[in-house]
Amino acid sequence: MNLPDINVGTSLSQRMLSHVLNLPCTLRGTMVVPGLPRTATVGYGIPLWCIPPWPHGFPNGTWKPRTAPTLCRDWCWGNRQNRFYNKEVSKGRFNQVVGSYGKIGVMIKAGTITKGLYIDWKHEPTLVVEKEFFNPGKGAAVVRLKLKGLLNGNVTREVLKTDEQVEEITVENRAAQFLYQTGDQLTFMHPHSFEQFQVEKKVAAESKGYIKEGVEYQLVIYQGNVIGVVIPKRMNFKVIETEDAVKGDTVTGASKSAKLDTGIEIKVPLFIKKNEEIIVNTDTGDYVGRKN
Amino acid sequence: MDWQNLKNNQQDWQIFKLRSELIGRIRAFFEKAGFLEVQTPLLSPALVPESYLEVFQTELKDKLGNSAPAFLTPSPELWHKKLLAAGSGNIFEITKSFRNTDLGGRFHLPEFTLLEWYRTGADYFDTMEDCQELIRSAASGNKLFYQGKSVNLTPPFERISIIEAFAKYAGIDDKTLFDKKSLVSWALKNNYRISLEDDWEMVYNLVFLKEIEPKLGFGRPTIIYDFPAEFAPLAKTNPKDSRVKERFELYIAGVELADAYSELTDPIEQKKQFEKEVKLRRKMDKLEHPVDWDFIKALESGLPDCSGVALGVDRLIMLLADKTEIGEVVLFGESYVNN
Repeated sequence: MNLPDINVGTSLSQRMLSHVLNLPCTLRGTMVVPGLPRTATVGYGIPLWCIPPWPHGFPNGTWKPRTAPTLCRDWCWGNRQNRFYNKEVSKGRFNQVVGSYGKIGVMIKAGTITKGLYIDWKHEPTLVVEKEFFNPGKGAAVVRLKLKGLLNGNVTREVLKTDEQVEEITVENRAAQFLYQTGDQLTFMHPHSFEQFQVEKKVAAESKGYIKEGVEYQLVIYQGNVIGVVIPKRMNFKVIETEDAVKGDTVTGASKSAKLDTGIEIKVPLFIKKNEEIIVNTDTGDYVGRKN
Repeated sequence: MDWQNLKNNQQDWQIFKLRSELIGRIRAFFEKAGFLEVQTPLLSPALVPESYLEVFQTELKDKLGNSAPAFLTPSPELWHKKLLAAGSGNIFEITKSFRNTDLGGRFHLPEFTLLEWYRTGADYFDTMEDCQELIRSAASGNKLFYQGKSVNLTPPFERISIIEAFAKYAGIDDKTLFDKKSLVSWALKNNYRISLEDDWEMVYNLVFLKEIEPKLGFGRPTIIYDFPAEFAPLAKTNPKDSRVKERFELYIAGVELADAYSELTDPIEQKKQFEKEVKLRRKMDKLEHPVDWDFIKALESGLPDCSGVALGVDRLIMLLADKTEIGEVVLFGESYVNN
């Protein structure tokens, strides 16, 4: 199994988890693991629950980490009082069946949901597109969410109490370069392991103009399927078509349109010439600067 | 909008030219109507307690090293009512207000520009008229396009009471609306994630935000009025229906733009509300701050009958400039989010 780079913010999948702990199981299906909490996210003050030392080892010595996972040194230590611990577990008793691991996720409060998070909404992996707090003047605040179902692409609006429990799903982020497109399939490849990923074109439909050969993207993987392609915030493009600036036109603020090598058009300042490389903010589609 | 963005996208200066013009038009509107422009402090040693607000605290220090708490005002209301009691007549102010709330939403910034005005000898129907005229002259036209939808600004705006709106958009009659049990069972039937322990206000909020608010202000602006008493502690009770108070909100294209009351002038009632809000703040674990009892004194000395409106200037510019994020129409507004 290939290990993703572990950074702050990385969500760990079940498989990843079992690998780190050297558990002789895949944590697939409905396998029950005593004492094992339900999710792992590294850093951001969100504790990592599952990292040894387990004070007393695993129950009956059935499963225990064979070696201290070397990856741990890069990780944050968790607060053991944290909700990720089952109450009994935090007392140091591990002979508890905590739950089924058919699906791993973490229950979070709706108030702490942020834009860009993946949640389980009505049994479907869902991306939070927008979140807004409302303080209607009385009563506790509520949040309004704009959600995008990642399997069917439906966008819905929901209103929730801030303390409503929502399941954050475990997704893997894998770095991958875009290789080529065949029919409806985009092919990506992990830069080190050369593992290839087939991605359906519709998954990246919104970022069509920003998919470029050789550029490294983050693939969002859920239960083995790529459900999203995260575009780098800033990308370089080559200008393939633009008018030359008219001499003497020195009006500040003037801009012209330019066609980029992926076919999209954006506004650029007048001094940009054909064949120049420029940097574009992919969030807004704005020109940022020249590539040095 | 940060400086680099502006440097690279010179056309975005248009937004800030519009902003400057708009402020000018607002001033001209109120000057013409004979209002006095006032400037009130942003820093205050005490506040009006409002249970839903998160406030910013800072410290005042003297040379001896003593310090006292001070707060950034979440609204200029506390000053304005004192001025009204002191005989100011009609007043308005364009000022910054501070609320220490969530970042990253499309419509909220911790520091934002508020237009607040008070008309004396008036009730909320009079300030509804003010709103209509102000919006039309601020937009300098009869039409507004927001996110591909056109809104006709010609008065009169649509007027609908809360009770009517619940009936029209959610099919909830007033008996169901004001009865906790029936409202909860309606919500449960309609797949709301609530439980029987939730209070009435919570269920009301969820239904309002899901069923009603997204439908307000399309085609023409909507004034939604007569809010349940629980949601308007600083407003006068409607003499015809004691379940509701004289408060209205103005919506354009689904965006909440202004909030107004027929102001409560009774100091005894106001004091009761203050104590209630203080308790609520404590219960909700919000920052405790000294209460501005001087405000009650001002009311005791006689607040004239008046109606006040607070209008989000940044949101109005969002509407006029057709922008979806509040940070896009406020200089350096995105810096909160990025840093």
